[in-house]
Amino acid sequence: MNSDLDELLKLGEPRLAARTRDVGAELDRLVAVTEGMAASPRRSRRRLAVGGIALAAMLGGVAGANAGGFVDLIPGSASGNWFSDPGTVEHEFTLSSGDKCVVTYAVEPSEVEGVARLRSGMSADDWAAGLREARAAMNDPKTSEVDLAAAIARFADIDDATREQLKADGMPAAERSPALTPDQTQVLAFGNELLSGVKDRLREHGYDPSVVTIASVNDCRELS
Amino acid sequence: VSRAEARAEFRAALRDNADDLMAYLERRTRSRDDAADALGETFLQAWRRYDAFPDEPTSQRMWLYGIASRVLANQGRSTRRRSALTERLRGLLMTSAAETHDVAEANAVRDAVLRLPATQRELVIMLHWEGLSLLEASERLGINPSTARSRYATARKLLRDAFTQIPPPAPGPVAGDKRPERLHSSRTA
Repeated sequence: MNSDLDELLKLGEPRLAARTRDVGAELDRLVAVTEGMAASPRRSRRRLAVGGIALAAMLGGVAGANAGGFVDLIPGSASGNWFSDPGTVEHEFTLSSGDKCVVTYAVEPSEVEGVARLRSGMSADDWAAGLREARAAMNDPKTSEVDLAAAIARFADIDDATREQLKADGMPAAERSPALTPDQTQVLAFGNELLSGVKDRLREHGYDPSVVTIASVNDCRELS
Repeated sequence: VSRAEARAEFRAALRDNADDLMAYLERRTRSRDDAADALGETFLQAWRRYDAFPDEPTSQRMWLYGIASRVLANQGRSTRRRSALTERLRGLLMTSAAETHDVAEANAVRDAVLRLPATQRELVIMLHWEGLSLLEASERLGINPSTARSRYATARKLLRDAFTQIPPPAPGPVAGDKRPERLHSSRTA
């Protein structure tokens, strides 16, 4: 049995990709690009600090994009390279463990440009202007100053309604996302509030709110 | 050392460790796509924390692996999202090696390993895929060798149980096309 097990483990050993010259060059580029990207949130933090917004600004991480369940609740929240986008908001959360962790939220297009424009019939200029307006909204204290307790209450209602709807639609329990933990809920609630604020502003200015969504990344070791 | 020099040294350290970090991530993710994304995230987190970069090379290496490890832990809990940052790297990795083995069965085995509890998973990967001895692995993990032995025995038992659910390869030249049953749901919280 042991030899069978060892043979299976050998079979399962990942075949590492060949380190070609192109791969090497791409690794060089990745080092350089991430150096530039890492500077971007610092600028964002300074801007927020000047605005007097009480958003703690520690280390922005890129691990762990949306916590489990986010995609089910806010469709279209996962894709794209948002890191270099100017419209980001960071918030330091206190987790149930007592640890602190920073989550960075950013506006990103909800769809690929061509798909979005085909669906909605909007022009390239309108699409780009909508994104610009959304990013500007993220830098507006009216959007980025979030009452977390109220946000959590609102989000809990959305979460409950979504789960009820999925249940009513006949989705098997095993395929539905597990119940969110308090830590996940506060992170998602904050993002949902930002998204609502951004979309309200887009509507006010006559843009299609479906053009954007909110993505989040965090440096949380645990998001229980 | 000026700030510019310090950044240059850090840049060089990232590049020097990039291949090994990539291999580390390839062995601990389900696909090269995931490994490429995790590498991009690791680099970005490293840059954001580089003020805490140790001076000593061995510590530097461990520091980078620590970041990669946390990236993986978060990636496992997260909904997958692809970053444009690593789009090109993903493409290069996907085309750089031809698969000649039974891909479906190999993936099932790998999936079973990656679903082990973290402490056992690391041991199996180190012993079977990275060629370390039990003593070396226990040192790297900072645990007692007897603890490592016990965890490894448990891991083997769990794997045996999991592997009994993998159907044998279908006979004939198209065995690689036959997909095994899923061992468990791959849905993550």
